[in-house]
Amino acid sequence: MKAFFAPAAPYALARVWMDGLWEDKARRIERMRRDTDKALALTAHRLLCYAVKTVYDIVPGPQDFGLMVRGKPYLVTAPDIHFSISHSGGMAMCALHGEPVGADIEKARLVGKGVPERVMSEAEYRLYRDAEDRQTLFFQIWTLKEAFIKYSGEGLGIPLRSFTVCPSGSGIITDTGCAFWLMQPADGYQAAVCAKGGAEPEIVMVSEEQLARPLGK
Amino acid sequence: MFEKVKQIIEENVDCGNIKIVPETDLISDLQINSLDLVELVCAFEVAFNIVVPEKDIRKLSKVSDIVAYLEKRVA
Repeated sequence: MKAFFAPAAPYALARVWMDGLWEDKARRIERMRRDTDKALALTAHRLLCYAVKTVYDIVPGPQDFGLMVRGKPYLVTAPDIHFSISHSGGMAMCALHGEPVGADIEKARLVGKGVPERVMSEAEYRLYRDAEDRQTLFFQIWTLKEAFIKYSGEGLGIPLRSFTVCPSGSGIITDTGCAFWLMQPADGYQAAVCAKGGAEPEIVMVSEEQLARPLGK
Repeated sequence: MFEKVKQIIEENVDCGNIKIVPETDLISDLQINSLDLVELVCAFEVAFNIVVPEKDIRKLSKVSDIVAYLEKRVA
C-alpha cells in the first residue's frame, strides 16, 4: 500500500490534465469558480494517474474509469487496483492498494462551535475534551473518520458518531475492525488511510515537476 | 426563510462573488466539502433550535432543498 502526496500545481499547468478526466468529472471541475480549486482537483486526478503508472505501469485514460453506486470511481479495466483520492488547501493525496482503501487529507483550521460534539463518538469526545492540542486531535479524528467512510463507500450512510477511531497513546483505538494510519505530509496538514489490514503505507512525496512529465503509455 | 438560510450560508461559507439563489448547489457551486457541510448544518441547528439527523443531510444539496427542509421542520 502506498500513499502519494503532491502540492497543488498552478492552474496554468494543471488545466492540460483536463483531457485525462471522464466527461462528468471534467464538467464538474469546469464549473468550479476558482482556478485554485480547479487546479487542486486536477492535481489530485493527475496524482492518481501518476501513482497507477508508477506502481502498475498503466496509464489510465478517461475511458478506463467507471462509477460505483454512490459515485465512487474505480478502474473498469483494472478492478483489482483500489484507490482513494483526497485534497484540501494546497495538497492532494492518493492512496493505492490491492484491496479497498480510504484516504483523507485536511488542512487544519478553526472549526465552528458544536462541530466536535456533532461528529465525535463519546469515547472520542472524552479524549478530545482532555487533550492539550485540541485542533490537532480534531483533525486527526476527522481524517480517520473520513478515511473509514471512504473505505466503506457508504458516504453519509454511516453516522459519524456511530463509530470510534481515535489516536490514543502510540496507537489508534477503533471499533470498526479496520486498520488505520495517520500522516502529517506537510506543516498544518493531517492525513489518514484506512484499509482492512496490511502493513503501514509507504509515503511517496511527488513534486510538481514529476507530475508535469509525460506519463507515457 | 430563504433570506435567513442565505444569511447563514454567507456567514459560514466563503461564497466569493457567487450570488446565493434557490438553485445554488452547495457542492458544485460553492465547493463545500464534508467538514464545511457539517459546520453549516451545525449553524442551522443553532439558528433554528433543531437537530438534523445525518440521514437527512444527504438530501440538502441545493439551497432550495435546505429551505424546504427547514420550513417543514420549523413549522
